Amino acid sequence: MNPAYTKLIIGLGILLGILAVFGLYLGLPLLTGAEATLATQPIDPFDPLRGQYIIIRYEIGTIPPVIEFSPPKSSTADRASPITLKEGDKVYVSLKDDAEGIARLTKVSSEKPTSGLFIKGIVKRVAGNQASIDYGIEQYFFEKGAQFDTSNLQVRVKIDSSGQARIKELLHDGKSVDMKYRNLSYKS
Amino acid sequence: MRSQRGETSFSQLIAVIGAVLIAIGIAWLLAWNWHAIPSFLKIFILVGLTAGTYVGGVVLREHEYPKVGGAIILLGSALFTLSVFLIAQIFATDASIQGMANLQLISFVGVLVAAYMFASPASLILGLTEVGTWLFNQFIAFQDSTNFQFSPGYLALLYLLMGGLLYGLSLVHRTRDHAFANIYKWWTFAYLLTFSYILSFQTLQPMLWAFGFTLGTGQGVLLIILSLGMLGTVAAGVIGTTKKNAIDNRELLSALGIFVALGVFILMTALLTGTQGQCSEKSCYEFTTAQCAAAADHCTMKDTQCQELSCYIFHNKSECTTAPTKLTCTWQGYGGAEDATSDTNGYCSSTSVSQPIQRVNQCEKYDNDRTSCTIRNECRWSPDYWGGRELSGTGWFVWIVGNLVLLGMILLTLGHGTRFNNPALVNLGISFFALDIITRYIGFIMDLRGYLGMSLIFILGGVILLLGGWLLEKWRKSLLAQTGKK
Repeated sequence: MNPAYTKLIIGLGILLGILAVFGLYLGLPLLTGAEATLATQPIDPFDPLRGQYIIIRYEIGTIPPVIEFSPPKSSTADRASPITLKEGDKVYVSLKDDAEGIARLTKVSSEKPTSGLFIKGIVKRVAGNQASIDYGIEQYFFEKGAQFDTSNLQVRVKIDSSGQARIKELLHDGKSVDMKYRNLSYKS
Repeated sequence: MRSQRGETSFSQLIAVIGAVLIAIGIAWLLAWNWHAIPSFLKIFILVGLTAGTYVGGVVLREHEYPKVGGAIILLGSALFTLSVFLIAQIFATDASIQGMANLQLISFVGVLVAAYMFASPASLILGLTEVGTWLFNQFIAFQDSTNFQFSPGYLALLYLLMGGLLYGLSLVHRTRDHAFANIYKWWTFAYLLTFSYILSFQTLQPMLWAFGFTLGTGQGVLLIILSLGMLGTVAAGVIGTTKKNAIDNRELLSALGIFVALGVFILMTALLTGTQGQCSEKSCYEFTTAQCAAAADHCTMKDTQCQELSCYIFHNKSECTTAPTKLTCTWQGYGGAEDATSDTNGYCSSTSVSQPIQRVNQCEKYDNDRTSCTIRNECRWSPDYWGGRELSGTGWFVWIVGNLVLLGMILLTLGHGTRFNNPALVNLGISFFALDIITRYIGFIMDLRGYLGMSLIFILGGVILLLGGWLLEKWRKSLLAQTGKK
């Protein structure tokens, strides 16, 4: 076989492999995760390569900056002592559904909980009595020009066993968001 | 022969422009995010298109269409990058600067694989551009995560290390007589010229070490990784080329000289730290409770925050009546509704035509003096060249050194180009020389504004540029003739 074609096959194998691994990594929580519905406060910007999206601020996106210290089991550290969060810290937020089916924060810890539903986040900012947490699900992309009611928005997410979350769908008043799309034209 | 070469280059150029246009068109289609196509089908279409484009490019190249084939492989690399962003769009991954940097890094790895596997110089250039923008975004992402508390001078050092890495890679490829050796060489020169050019701006120099030398963990790790990568690559390149007699002491010393000069210059800009910037008054929101009480003439604690004293902070009719008399506040109902009582149907505003609280800015006298500014609680320091254009003697000295480094880099490029018969490098050096002249000319206009001064500068500048243009053309011809003779 022509060496250029052999390289082509190997090269394509590597490139498609990169895309497949990337897609699988991102898709894993959707395939294997548990479901939770989160309360939000959205706003609406634009990404030049990925298009229009909403930035979603979650109710669990701000927590008190002092949390319960959860040392590893092997540690002899004092379990009762609280720790103060700083930017870049990893936190695990335990969640429990309320009567309306919204997952609410029950506990924040520095170590991965051994049971129950929890989501992993990174401390983005600490200011005054609040710490902002990023869970990697703060954006949702949609068709350019599409409109929908952003009031009382919730997000249904899937969270895998490591606490990594992906957005499954947007909800409005508990039902799938009704997107209004513009008619297709060359000016679209 | 010359005409044929020209035609081939032209066909290559239009093919590359075509590839770029298609990639931009597809990027916009992706950004449009058409809901009618299911996500998995979008991925299938784009990944299929990427693979098909690579196959088409390689097949065309193997069938005596190397230029168009090369342009189509470049399109494939652009589509690979877009595929990464499409997958990220579908899974709604992080849209922050860190998220963008992650996607750029993944794209870069794929494009680099394509460049080597499919022997595509254009893909290599795309990959190098992607890694350059990744470095910038990654640094900004670290800055963002630490509330912008670290000096951008570290970004300059990171870019310098990347320049060293590129030079090392060019040597490694020279050792192996790799087809990319000349591309790395040209890219290294173009990169270092651009880098020196950017550093030569007065506006930028006082900003580089605005927050001192404190280093964040992320930036530090990046600095160490890039330093090790650069040292390893340069060492391998120098050993390889020395063994092969493909490098001499003159080149090694020149390279070392320019990297040391750039490094020293970056550190030298620290002399300007705290000498250029605005000293402005803090807003009441930035005060602690105690500071708020001390600034009671224009601030007040309200709704658990220190707020600017004005009628608008009183949200209902009864609150409005408790406002300090000097504000002359009165409650206004929307649409003349006198009985309006809350901020949903009225607002509290001043009846005074002039501003009730006149304040004299106590901080601006400390512009361009960070030490005096920051010791005052009520003042905020913002590093900013435009805070005042009175550049100090040190400022001029650093600026002159920066321009000498740029000039040195230009001369090095021209010298290397003529010595090794490389017209591309000669053209590059001449282009940057012309760019430097034009930029500094505009800079002088901005510094020495005024009717008479401007008039003289324009006339003088016009004559210099005309003469300079003629001399540049003559110089370029003579340099190219020299490279031709060799």
